[in-house]
Order: sequence, then structure tokens, then C-alpha cells
Amino acid sequence: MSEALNETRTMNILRGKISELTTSGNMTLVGVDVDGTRMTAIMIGRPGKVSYLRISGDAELLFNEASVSIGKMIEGQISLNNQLDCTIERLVLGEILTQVILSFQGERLTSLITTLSASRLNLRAGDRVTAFIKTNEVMLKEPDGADNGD
Amino acid sequence: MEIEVSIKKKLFTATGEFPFTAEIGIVSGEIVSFFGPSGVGKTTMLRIIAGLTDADEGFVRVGGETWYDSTDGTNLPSRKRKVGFVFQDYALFPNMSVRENLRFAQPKADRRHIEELLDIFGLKNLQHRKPGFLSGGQNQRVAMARALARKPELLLLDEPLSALDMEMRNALQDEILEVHRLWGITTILVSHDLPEIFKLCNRVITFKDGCVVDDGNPYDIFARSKISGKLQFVAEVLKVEKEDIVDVLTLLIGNSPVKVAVCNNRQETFVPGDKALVVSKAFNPIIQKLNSNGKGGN
Repeated sequence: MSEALNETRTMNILRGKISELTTSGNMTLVGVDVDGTRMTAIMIGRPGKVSYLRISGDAELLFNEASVSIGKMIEGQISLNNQLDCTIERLVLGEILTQVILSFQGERLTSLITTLSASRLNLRAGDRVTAFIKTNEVMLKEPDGADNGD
Repeated sequence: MEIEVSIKKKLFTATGEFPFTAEIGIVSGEIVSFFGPSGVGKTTMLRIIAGLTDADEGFVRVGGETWYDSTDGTNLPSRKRKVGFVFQDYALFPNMSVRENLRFAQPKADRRHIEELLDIFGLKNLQHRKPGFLSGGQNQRVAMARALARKPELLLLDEPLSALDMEMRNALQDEILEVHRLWGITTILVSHDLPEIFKLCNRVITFKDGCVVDDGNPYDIFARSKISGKLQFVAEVLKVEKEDIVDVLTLLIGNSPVKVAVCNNRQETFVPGDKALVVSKAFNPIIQKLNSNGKGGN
């Protein structure tokens, strides 16, 4: 029965190395270097208590498809820390919702947005876009059987 | 009472005979689940601890006292082992009333304790009835009360709730927790029900191919994911419906059905009956206070 719960590929997953740990009380802002792109996640817990929270330790970042926003030709400033330069591989258009299948440095990510937005942005396969994920939407996970930088 | 068991025994099953070995230490007051496929030796383990079956070699020590030791022939008879055993088929005496069943289990009459148990398990009004006139859930409550009537140092529960419906099962789980809160009896539970294990146990020992293959807390054992999310629920998939380009899963969490939308391009597909872990970040849920008058707090 435990096999059923073992993760194959669920939601969006990126792997990286922990580069920054900022702690306040029992809360930690974790900076993760994902192939040169800095991502952040926030969690309740702190280094020492959570075994994998170590500089240069491996970490996986998980986020729901519905937490990924899409920006096109973005200028100006935006508060979101997690900004991933992606290429649209393809779109799966539904009546209300659209899956935007993205390629980020060879990794496949999915964004679930309204079909309304997909057409407003005139999204097409091959478009260069930015995927935005709020820091509080990113979950951290210790990779299975990873050598955590010891 | 703390338990130390180190035993070897040949088991005979439909597929042949295989050696079973286990070396387990359980801390006083723990509720531990034995988990694993049928016929792997979980029940045999309980029976060896209770003295209903002999091991081929090894020892059983409870609270520092040796109950069984093959090297010097120590073998405390089962009636002298302070164990409360509850089976799936409650094995009550059909010719005795509820009260008499409880009384019969006591080596020395203790009326007050019987009253207390009748109270905890809500059996006061049924105490003079015989098992044949009770429902499955009521009989299982009697079996629990009877196991506790002799004030055991260990409580061994062999799938005691697996034949009951969800509601009854939930109620009895609450009563098991209540009993544990009151008396802190070291408890071993054989169960295949993940939500039950998560609810009752802080440790799971998994058996496979005649030995222990896993030992840890339920989240580590079953989820295998050290996700940082703070809201985690074990759910059972009841229904999968396609809506637009997402799958809407109806999940049973506790005894409430909830709906969750899942992007349908995941490699992982869900079918009814699957168990799933539902996780959310500590920052994401919207929380509203419910006042006793039922209105949202301001």
C-alpha cells in the first residue's frame, strides 16, 4: 500500500541547492539555486530542527500548477521572487481553464490559468514567457535518498 | 510497560514455510502499529507476546520482567501475562451478559473499574444484555472493555475495528485514544487502515518477508516525502470526475468528503480507493473564527 503513496511525478518539481537561509524566530526564508536561477520558499521550521535545511544541501521545490502565473513582455517591478524564464511548449485549452506546458531549463512545468487570460495574452507555443510563483506557494521537500551535501 | 522482543519462528502459510525474525523495542506508553501484508506474522507476534503461541527461540521481556526465554525455558503462562487482547471477532462469552463478560476477565473483582469501563464505552444501559443482542460495534466495545477489565500492562489489538463501518470505527478510535490518555497503556495495533494508523499511532513497524523492513512515524513511512507543508491529511479517493481540463477528486478526509481539483496532465492518475496525502502550506488556508453562535468572528 505504501507504493501507492510514493511519489512518481506529481505537481511541479524543481531541484536545486540551498543557497540562503534567513531565519526569524521559527520561520525560515529559504533561497534555492536552481541551475542559476534563485528561487525562494518560506516555511515554518528552522535549520537545526529541519534536517535538510543546510547551505548547499539538496532541496526540491514543489508547487501547484494553479500557483503558477504567466507574464509576457513583463516590464516594471513586481513583488514576486520566483520568476522563471520559460518557453511555452504547448497549450491545452479548455472552456474555462488552460494548461500552459512550459519548458524551464529543460524541466517541464505546468501552469493552470483561465482560458480568458491565455487568449488575452495571446499565448502561443514557442512564446518566451515568465512564470511567477509566490514564495508562500512553494513547498520544500528533502529529495529521496539525496546526499545532502555532507 | 516497555517491551523488548527478540524472536525467531518458522511460519507456515499457503505458499510454504518461511522464517520469521523480529527484534523490537517498544517504549512504555507508546501506541505502535504493526503493518504489512496478510500472513506476514503480525498476529503471530502478538500471540507470542501474549503467550498464546511459543516462539522457536528468543525472548520476550515486558517492564524488565522475562515472560519468555528459550535459553532457560522461562515461559510465563498466558493467564499470568498482564495483556489485554482484542481480536476482530470479539470472542465474547455468548451466555454471559456484558457485565459478566467484564467481571469474568478480572482475576480479582473490581466493581469500580467495571463501572468506569461501562462508562467510557457507553455500555451502562446495555450491561445486562448478552452479546447476541448487541450490534457489531457494541460487541467490539464490550471486547475492548473486557480486555481492559483485567488492568493490562499491554493492550494488543488485532484489527479490532476492521469489520466496522466508518462511523463506528471513528467512535471506537476516539475511545481507544481516550483510554490511552487515561491510563497510558502500551498498545500494539495490527491494522491495514492508513487513516486509522495516522490517527492512533505515532510509530509504525512494517513487516515484509518475515522481518521488519521499516520502523518510524507514519508520515515518514507512508508519505516518504519530507514535504514542508504544515497541513497534511491522509485521504481516500472516492470519485474522480473530469471537469474541463482538470480532474476533480472527491476525497474522504476523516469522515468529511472534500473536493480537490488536480491538473490532469500529471503522470500520476488517481482511481477510487487510492490513498492520497493532501498537503497545503501553513500560509495558504483561509481561517475564519467560528463563534459559538455560529457566525464568523469580527
